Amino acid sequence: MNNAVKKIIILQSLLLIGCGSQNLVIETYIPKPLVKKYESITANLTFDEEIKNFIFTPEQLQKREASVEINFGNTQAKLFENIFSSFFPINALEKNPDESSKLILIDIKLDKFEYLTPQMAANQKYSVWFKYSIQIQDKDKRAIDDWIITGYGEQETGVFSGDEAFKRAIQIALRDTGANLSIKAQDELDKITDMIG
Amino acid sequence: MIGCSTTRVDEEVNTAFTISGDESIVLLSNSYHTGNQTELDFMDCLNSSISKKQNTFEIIPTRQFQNLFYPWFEPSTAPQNIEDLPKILSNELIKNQLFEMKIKYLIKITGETKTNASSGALSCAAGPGGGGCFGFAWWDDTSAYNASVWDLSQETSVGNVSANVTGTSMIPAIIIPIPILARTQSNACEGLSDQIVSFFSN
Repeated sequence: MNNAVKKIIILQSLLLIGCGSQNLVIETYIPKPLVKKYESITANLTFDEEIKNFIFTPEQLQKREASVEINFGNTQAKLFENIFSSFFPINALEKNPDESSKLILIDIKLDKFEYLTPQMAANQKYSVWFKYSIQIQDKDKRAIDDWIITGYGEQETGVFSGDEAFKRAIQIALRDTGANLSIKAQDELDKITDMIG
Repeated sequence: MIGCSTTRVDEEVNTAFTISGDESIVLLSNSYHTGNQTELDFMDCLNSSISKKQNTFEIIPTRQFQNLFYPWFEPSTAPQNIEDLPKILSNELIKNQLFEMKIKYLIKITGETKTNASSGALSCAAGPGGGGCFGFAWWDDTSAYNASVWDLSQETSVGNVSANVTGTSMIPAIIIPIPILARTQSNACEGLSDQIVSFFSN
């Protein structure tokens, strides 16, 4: 093989590596929150499809900057189950709750998932945002409250490889979402308990 | 090879304080939400360095503390200054757990390592017959960190310690590059941990 052919093969390999897409699988640990328990409430949680088993693929505009597929699996659903189950028992939809406890329905939707890579922002970090919309209803589906919960995480590339820094930024943002949700719930649940009698 | 660096440490005590053998301290960095960029590896270094240098008190690793007290000491929810402390300590669940774990002092860390100036040029080339580098590059780093010691039972700041390290790193290269690095961040970690240990030994 002559030198020119070798050079072409090396250049093509470099281009393929440069344009290759990233595939991230997200798993995260969210601790049990240190919060007040509401034993008199039972909740039914419902999630939209983007929470139950979300695989993010970038839109055309983002693809030019960073082609990445992010598989969240059921990480987001687990996050909300973990946080809400620290306040009150979670009831499977098909079961009737105990008569002594009051039922509330909590519907969770992912409004926005956004990110910036070092290439997009011309800096050395990944930044990630989540925005969720949470609707709370009584057992007769009358609206009680609407919450907007956000989470933000950033991670400098530093010692991490590109994939690892991006994954950590997502994990930090999910943990931040859990923290903001816990504090919002702690602030609002006394009022909600009073409202549902 | 290690480059030259200069370290300056300062200490300021506001009020009298004590710590006994079964009491604990926790280190927490200020949030990136407020523009603070204290590095995770600096926090790890400080935790392990203080733990190794003394046996007067316990030190609870930052991540373990944040998990036990989740969600109250996360970057976006932790108190950022001493004025925020009474609000978080008015939560009985937090106060009781701090009491049970005998956590007496919270040390808030701020600061970061920055490159101030860099210059020079270094170029490397490789071919079928071999490769090499030629040139000279240098840069100045400053690692400036501050630790503010908060008494959780009194809800006051009892003092501050700080470490400021500057150093110049360089890479001369004649075929083989020879990095001569000023380890400003690790020197700041050593300086600040010495100061914190000495602060509690007084």
